[in-house]
Amino acid sequence: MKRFARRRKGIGTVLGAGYFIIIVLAIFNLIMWEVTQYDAYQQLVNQMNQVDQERISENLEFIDPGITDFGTLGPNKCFNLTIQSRGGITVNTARLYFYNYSDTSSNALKIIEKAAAGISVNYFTNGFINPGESNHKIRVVTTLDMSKATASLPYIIYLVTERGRTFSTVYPRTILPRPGNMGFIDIGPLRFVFDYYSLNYTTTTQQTPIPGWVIKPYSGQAIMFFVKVINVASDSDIKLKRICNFDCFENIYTGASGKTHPIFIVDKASTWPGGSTMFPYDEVNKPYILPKNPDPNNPQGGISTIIKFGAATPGTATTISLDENYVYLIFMGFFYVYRGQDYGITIPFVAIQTQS
Amino acid sequence: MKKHRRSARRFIGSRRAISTLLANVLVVTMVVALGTMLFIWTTGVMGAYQGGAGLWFSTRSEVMKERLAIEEVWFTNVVGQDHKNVTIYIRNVGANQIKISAVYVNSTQVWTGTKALEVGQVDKISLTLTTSWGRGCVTYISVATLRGNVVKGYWQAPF
Repeated sequence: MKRFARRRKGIGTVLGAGYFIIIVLAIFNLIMWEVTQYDAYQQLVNQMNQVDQERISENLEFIDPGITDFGTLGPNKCFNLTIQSRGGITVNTARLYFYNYSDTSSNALKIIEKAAAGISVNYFTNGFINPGESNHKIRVVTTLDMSKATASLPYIIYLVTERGRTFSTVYPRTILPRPGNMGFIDIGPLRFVFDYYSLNYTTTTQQTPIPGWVIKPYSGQAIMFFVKVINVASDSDIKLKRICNFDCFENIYTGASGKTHPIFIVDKASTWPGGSTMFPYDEVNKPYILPKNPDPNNPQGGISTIIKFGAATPGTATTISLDENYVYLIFMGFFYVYRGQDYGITIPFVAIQTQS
Repeated sequence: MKKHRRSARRFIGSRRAISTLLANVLVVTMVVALGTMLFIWTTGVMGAYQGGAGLWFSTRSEVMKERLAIEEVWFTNVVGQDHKNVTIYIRNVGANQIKISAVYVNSTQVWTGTKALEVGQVDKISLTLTTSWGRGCVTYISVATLRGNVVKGYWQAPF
């Protein structure tokens, strides 16, 4: 110590080193602070992304005719809103709005709140809707007489969820007159609809479904088809088997070889024919279940389900493509279990074109 | 005492070593001065950076927590006002209190103010437009919050 104190050299070096260490520590501290702040921010971003994802997962549909089971409760009216959940998450209904679309006075809007102490009218119960519920009934007690609504004096019903999504329907729904038997075909308990939006497709470049009557522009990409099917039977659900397929027959006159492209059913979560967006169909653990028709008087025949085809072989996610600039005749093979017994039917379906 | 006087005389009378001593003193002084200046500058720069970054993180976090939904837009015709009334129902579905600051109808500002909405709360804003809404017309409505989030949507007036 004495030697160090008597040394003439080195004091500047020691002081300089001391300052250097202090500054390095300060910078390190700053970096650590920034890392902590960024981490906290990133956690918040992830949390809010999760909230957004859950909100997007909510998907409700009103089942025809929208309102059923009219009745009275004391001086008030009561009825059920019939809803099915196609989303992957439980939905909590926050509020209902009944908007008389033909009325612009202050009486046009009726707000229905969640049942709670102190609310004796204009409330609803049974607002929790689980994923996959196909005939959920929300009981509404109100002063509004919805049985008097007509197609010329319709209401718009808004269902608001606690996550902020809004689902709406018009009541009563306007049913277009059936054009003979051209709008759909019924084979066995299955109904196949031929409206413009009942057949859609996606490819690796067209990743959102669009009508698939004329596939254009198309240059031989992997392809997936979406077909709307309704179970019109009111006595049993129908389970689809893994060998259901969508067969595309090439027409030789367009220069094609006349070969057949069988496209097999894929998992319902598939969106477009990509590596992580199309999944094999699991007939045992995650089958397509076409729900039975809850109302035999329903003019639409029941609840529609979108069936997806995109695999080259049954039970896989191997993609398949068509050839461009050809005309195809489509037949579908539907293999299903109905009332515990196996069936198989051939559906003469549509004719489509691919154009480059 | 005599000893000290003798050594002081020897030090003053010595011809060598004065430059070495001065050099040492100068070097130490320069190191201290420069080091202090560097320390002060570094502290200032870091403080300014930390303040700015802290403000950015805290502001962005508050903005990120905001979520609001336009639940319903109600077009009404109050007597004497000739189809100029619109009521907007807004719900706070985020994780933070929201302050609504402006409402735009067809890209024209029709309401300003501050309306606070707690988490999960729903409230309405009643507007009186300067021109009538047309029957069946599609109206573009934007609601802006004080922190800068905007929720937009198209709503159709009744026929």
